[in-house]
Amino acid sequence: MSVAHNIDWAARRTDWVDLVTDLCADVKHWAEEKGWGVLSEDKNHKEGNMESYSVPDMMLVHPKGYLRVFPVARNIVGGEGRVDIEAYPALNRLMLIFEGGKWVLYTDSGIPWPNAWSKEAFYEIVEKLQA
Amino acid sequence: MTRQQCFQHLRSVETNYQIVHDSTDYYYLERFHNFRGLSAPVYKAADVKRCSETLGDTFILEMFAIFEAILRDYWSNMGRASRPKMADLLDGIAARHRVPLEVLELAHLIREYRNWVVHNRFGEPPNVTTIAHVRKYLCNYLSYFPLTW
Repeated sequence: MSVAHNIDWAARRTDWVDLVTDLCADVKHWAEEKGWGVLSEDKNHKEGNMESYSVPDMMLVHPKGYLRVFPVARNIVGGEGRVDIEAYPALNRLMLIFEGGKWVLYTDSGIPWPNAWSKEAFYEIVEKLQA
Repeated sequence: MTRQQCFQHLRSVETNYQIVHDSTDYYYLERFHNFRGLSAPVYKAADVKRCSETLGDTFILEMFAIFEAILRDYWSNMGRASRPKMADLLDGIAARHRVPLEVLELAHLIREYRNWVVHNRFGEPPNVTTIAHVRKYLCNYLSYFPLTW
């Protein structure tokens, strides 16, 4: 029997949808506190053995440009889920990896961000990604 | 297998090349330099058919070679002096960049297909359809790389 048969895919999917929804709610709230516009749209994802699911895909309108916050996948190598934060037009990107029960920021090169994920870290990276 | 079959096998690859080379030359001269009255290259129908059937694989091999060179360049730029097997290289870089499992699996599928072609198409072919899919799967993997390195 393969490992895939021992995984509760339904629970995995539900947990992931809840995690991403909560994360996006935080980001939306933090962005609105700064007066940045927020566009949000639910997008469908289909991953391997999990049933398809719908989670927010967000675009923040920052004075210096746009910032997209979008879930990449629950099933990734080296983590328990990935959400990307990508600036436009700079195209700089950070990864938010869910690991050990919390979100951890990594640079695009896979190096851990010096600060833990928080509202302050979010404001900091928005500025740096747009640089 | 006989020695004669070996010669024929290698000769068929040269014929494939000649068909493509002559056809592109013919197209170029007639289409872009308006040469009229050129004699179209003449080949046996069986040779042209075989050439057409193997053309995709020829370019898949070239595409995968480029992909492998990119990965090895990236690996050495990460400061790694080792030269891992391609399968390990795919896994190692995927782990560093938290690549989605499905994206990694599709890159491995192309690697397995390349191996199947290289090893004389022995056994069941991995389920790869077109060169467009190959490009899509490899580019999808590369999209998790940084913008520059």
